[in-house]
Amino acid sequence: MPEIEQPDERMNAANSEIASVPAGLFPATMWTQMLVAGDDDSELMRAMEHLALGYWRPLYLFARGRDLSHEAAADAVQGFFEHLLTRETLRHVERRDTRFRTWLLACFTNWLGGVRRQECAAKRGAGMEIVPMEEIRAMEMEATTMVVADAPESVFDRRWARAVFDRALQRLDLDIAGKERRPYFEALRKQVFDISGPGMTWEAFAEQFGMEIGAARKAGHDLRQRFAGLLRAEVRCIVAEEGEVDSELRYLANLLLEGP
Amino acid sequence: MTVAELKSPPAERCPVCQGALEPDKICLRCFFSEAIEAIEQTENIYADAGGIASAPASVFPRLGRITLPCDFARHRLVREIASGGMGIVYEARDLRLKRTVAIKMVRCVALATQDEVARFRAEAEAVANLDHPNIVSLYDVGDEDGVPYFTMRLVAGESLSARLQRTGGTIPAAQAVQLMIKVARAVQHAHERGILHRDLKPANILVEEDGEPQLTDFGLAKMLDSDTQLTRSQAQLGTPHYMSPEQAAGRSREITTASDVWALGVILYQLLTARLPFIGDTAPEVLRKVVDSEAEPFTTERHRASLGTSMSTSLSGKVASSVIHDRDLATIVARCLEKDPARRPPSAGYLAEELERWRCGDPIRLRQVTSHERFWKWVRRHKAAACAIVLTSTSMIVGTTVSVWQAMVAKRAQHAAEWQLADADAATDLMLGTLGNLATEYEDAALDRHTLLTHLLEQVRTYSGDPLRKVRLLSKLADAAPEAQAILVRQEALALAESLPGIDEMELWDLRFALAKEKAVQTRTRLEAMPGLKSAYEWYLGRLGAENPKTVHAAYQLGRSLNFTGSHEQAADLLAQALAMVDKKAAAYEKNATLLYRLDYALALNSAGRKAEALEVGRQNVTMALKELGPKSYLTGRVLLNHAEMCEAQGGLEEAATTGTQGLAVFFASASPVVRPTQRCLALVIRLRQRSKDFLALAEVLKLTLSAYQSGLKGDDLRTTTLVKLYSQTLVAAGGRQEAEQINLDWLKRLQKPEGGLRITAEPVLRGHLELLRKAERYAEAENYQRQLIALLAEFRPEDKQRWGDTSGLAQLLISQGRPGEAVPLLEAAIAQLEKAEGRLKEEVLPLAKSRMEVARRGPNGGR
Repeated sequence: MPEIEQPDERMNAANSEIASVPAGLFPATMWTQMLVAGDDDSELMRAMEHLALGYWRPLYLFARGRDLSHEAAADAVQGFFEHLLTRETLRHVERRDTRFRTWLLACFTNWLGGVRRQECAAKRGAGMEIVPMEEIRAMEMEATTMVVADAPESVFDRRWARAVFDRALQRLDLDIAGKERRPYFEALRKQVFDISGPGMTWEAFAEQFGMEIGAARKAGHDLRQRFAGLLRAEVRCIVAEEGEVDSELRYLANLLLEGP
Repeated sequence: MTVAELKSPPAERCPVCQGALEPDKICLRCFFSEAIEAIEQTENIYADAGGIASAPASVFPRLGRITLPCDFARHRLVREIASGGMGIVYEARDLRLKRTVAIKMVRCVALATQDEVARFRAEAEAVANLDHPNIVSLYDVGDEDGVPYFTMRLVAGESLSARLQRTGGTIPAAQAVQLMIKVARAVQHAHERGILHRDLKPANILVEEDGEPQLTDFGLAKMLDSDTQLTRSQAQLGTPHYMSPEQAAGRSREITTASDVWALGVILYQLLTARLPFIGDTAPEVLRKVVDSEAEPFTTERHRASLGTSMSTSLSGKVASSVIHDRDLATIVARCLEKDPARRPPSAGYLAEELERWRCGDPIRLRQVTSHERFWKWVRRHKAAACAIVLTSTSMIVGTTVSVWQAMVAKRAQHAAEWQLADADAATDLMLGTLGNLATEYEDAALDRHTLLTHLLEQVRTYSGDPLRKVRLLSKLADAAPEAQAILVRQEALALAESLPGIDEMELWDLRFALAKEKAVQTRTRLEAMPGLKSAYEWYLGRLGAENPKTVHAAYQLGRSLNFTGSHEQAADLLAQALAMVDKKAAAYEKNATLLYRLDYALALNSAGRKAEALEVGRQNVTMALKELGPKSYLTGRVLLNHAEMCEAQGGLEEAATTGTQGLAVFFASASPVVRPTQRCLALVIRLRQRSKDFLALAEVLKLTLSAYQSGLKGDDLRTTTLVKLYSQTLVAAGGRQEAEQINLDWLKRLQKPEGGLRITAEPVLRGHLELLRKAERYAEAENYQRQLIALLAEFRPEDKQRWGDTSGLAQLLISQGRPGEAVPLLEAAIAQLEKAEGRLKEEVLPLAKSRMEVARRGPNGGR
C-alpha cells in the first residue's frame, strides 16, 4: 500500500516552496525595487524582461481591441518590448503608479500613439525577437474567439488576471516537475485544475493511489492552498506595497464577477 | 476581423461564486479569492471530512466553499437553497431554538468590499422593518466573527421561477393575477416603509405549497431616505430582464418605487404569455432593448405571426399562450411597462387594486394614456358623477402637489416627489384632455364647463408651491378654457412666468404665443393679437429656424390672422410656406395639420383675389380629407363646409350645394346636429336649394337632417319641430302636399301631452299645418287648429301678445267661413291688446286686424 503523505508534512513543504522562490526570478515586490532604484542594474533589467514577457498577452489583445490587425498588434508588442527594455526607458519609469499592471498599460498606450513607435518600426526587421513569433501567432486564434463586450481596457484587465493565473500555474508545474512522486502530483493537479473534461471522481482517484477518500480530497484541497500561495506571491511581484496585494487580488476577482 | 467586431457569446458563470468562467472552465475568481486568504489560513487544518466539519467559525465562511453539513453560529447548515451574486442561503437547524430556518450570509466575506458588507447589513435592517403575510419574515440578525448573517422563516415550496419551469411557462390568468395582487401589496407594504426592492423577479418570489407567495431577497433593497446611492454598476446589479429603463441606463438616482412597479409588470407579462417582454442573446442587448425598444407586443392578432421566432428564446422554451387576450389586463401590463416612470401606475398598491378590480370583473381605471374614448363614454352616461369625480380628482392633484412640494423643500424623497409631480401633470393632461373633447364635439352635453374651470382656477390660484408648476397648471387650464376665459388665465400664467427670474426663454415664448393665438381666434381681440403673433413668429424663426415645427405653426397662425385682418397677399404667402413645410414632414406636426393649413391657405387665396387657385386648393383639400379621414370625421366636414362657402361666394352654386350637402352628412355622422358648423352648413344648403328652387333635393336634405335631429336631440325639441315645419313646407313646394300633411299630423299626434293638449314645442308644426290648410282653403279644419294654437299660447306664454295676432288670424278664418259676427268680438279684444304691443305686432299685425274688423262689421254679405 503506497505511503500516504501526512498533511502536516505537506503543508510545511508547501510553505517552504513559497519561501524558496529564487530571489532573482521573484524578488518580493520587485516592482517596488524598480520604482525605487531606477538605475541601470543589469540584474534588474533581466527581472523586468522576465516580468514584462509574462504579460505580453494582455497587451496584444489590448492592441487588437484597439482595432489593430494581427500583424500590426504583433509588431506593436515586439516593438514595445524592444523599447521598454532599454536603459533609457527604465531610467524614466514614472513613480506615480504603484501597480505594474496600470503602469505597463499606460506605457503601452502612450507608446502606441507615440512617435517612438514609428521610429522603432522603421528600425525593426533587424530587431531582436523578444516574444517568440509563433506564440503570438497562436494568440491570433484566441483573439478571434475571445469574448469581447467591453472597452479594450477592461479586456486588458481581464486577460491580465488570466496571465497572473497562468504564471502562478507555471510555478506550480515547475514545483511538481521537481517532486519525487511526480505522477501522483500530476494526477492531483489534473484533478484540481482540469475541470473541463469529465475527469475522474475523487473516489476513483483515491482508489488509484490507494488513499482514503477523505485524505484524497484533503490532498486536493491542500494543492489548491499551495497554488493560492503562489498566486499571492505572483501578485506581490507586481505591486509596490504589501498592503496592495489584497486590494489587487480583490480587484481582479471582482472584475470577473462583472464578466463580459 | 478585429477583436472589437466579434460577437460575444454570454459567459458561463461559476456555480460557486458567479464569476465569469474562462473558456477552459477555470474560475479565476475562486482562485483569486483563495489567494487573498492564502497566507493567513495556511495554518488552519480541517478535521477529517467524514463528520461535521468543525472549522473555526472565523475561518469557515470566509472561504469560497464549505462542506455540508457544518455548524455556524449555533446553526447546523444542512443544504444550500439559493445563491446570488453575493449572498448565499442555506437551510439550517437552529440548534438552540430547535427549529428549521433559512440562513443567509455573505458568500465570501474576504472578497466582499466594505460597501457590500454594508449592503448585506442594510438588507437585514430592511427586512426587519417589514411585517407582512407575503414577505418572508425575519427571525434573527447576527454577526459571527465579522461574518454577518440573518435567519428567516424557511418557506416550504419553490420559487416562482422554478414553478414556471415545471409548468411550462404560464399559469392561468386568474391565478397569475391573484398571485400578483398579493405580491404587489407586499411591495406596497415595503414602499410604505421606505424600502425599494430593486430586484423583483420570479426567483425572488417563493410560492408556498398552498399557493401563497412570499417575497424575499431584499439584497438590493434601498432605504428611500438614505443618502447612499448605488454606483452605475451597482445600479445594474438587478437581473437584466426585469430591470427598468432607468436602472438599465444606470440612472441610479432615478430609481424609485416606479422601478419596482416596472418589474411587477414584467413578471405579470411573463406569467401571462410565458415570454419576457425584452429578449436578447446577451445581457447588454437585453438592457439596450429595455431602454430603447417597446416591449414585445401582445394584444392584437397581427402580432401573433411575428411572435414565432421570439417565443423560442423565451425562458421556458414552451409557450402556452403568447397573447394576452384580455384587453384590460393588456392595458395594465402596458402601463407598467411605460418607459416614463410617471406614466406607470402610481404605486404598487394601485396596481394591486387594478388587478383586484379586474379579478372582480369591474372596469379598471388605468387607460392607455392616448385613448380617452372609453372614459368619456362613461362620462356621457354619468354626467353628474363624472363632474363630481373631476372636481375631486382636481383637488387631489393640486393637494398632493402641495404636500409633495413641501417634502421637496424638506429635501426628503426628492425623486419620489419629482415623479409624483410628473404624475400629477399626466393626470391633469388626461382630465383636461377629456374635458376638451367633451367641449368641442359634444357642446350639448350638460357638463358645465365654465363652473368646472372656475373651480379649477380657484384651486390653482390658492396653490403656493413651486411657482413654475403653478405657471404650468394655469397654462393647462387656459388650454381647456373657452376662448374668452382662456385669454385671462393665460395672461395670469404669463404674468407669473415673466416674474420668475430663472424661467426658460422657450417656455416664456410658448406662453406668449399661446396667448396671442387665443386672442387671434376671437374677432374682438384679433387686431390686438397681431403684434404678439408677429414677435413670437420672429422669435421662433430666429431661435429655431424656418423649418422647425414651432416656427411653422406660428407662421400658420400669423398667416391666418393676417388674412382675417386684411393682409391677404401676405397671408397667402406665409400660409403657402407653412403648408410646404407640413407637406414635407407631416409626422412632425399635429394630426391633420396638412388639412387645416390647406383650409386656411385656400381662404387666404380667395380673399387675395386668386380665385382659381383658391378653388383648386379647396378641391384638393376636399379630396384629401375624404381620402385620409373619410366621411365620418368632423374635420372632413369643416373642409367641405369651407369649400362650399367659397364656391358660393364665387358663384359656383351647384358645386357649393353638392359640397354643402356632402358636408352636412359628414357633420351628422361626426358631431352634434346643433353645433355651429352643422347649423352653418344646413343654412347654406337651405339657402342655395331655395334659391335654385330645387325643392326635391332640399326635401331630401331636410329629411336626413330631421332623422339626425331625432337621434341627436330630444323628441320635443323646438329645433326639431321648427325643422318639421320647414320640411313639410318644402314638400308642399315640391308638390308633395299629401305627404306634407301626413307628416304634420304625425308630429302633432306625437306632440300630444299624455293628459291631453299639445306641448309648446308643437307651435311651429301647428303653424306650418295652418298655413297648408289655409292655402288649400280648408278653413273649417284650419279654425280648429287655430283655436288649439291660441289655447297653447294662452297656456304657456300668457303674456305674449303674439296670441292676439293669432286671434286676429282666427277671426279671418271665421270671416272666410261666412261667420263675421263671431269674428267681431275676437277682433275687438285682439285690437285692444295689439295696441299695447310693440314692433311687428303693432306695425303690421294691428293694421291687418283693423282692416279685418272693417270687413267683419260689413257683415256676411259685405264680407270677404
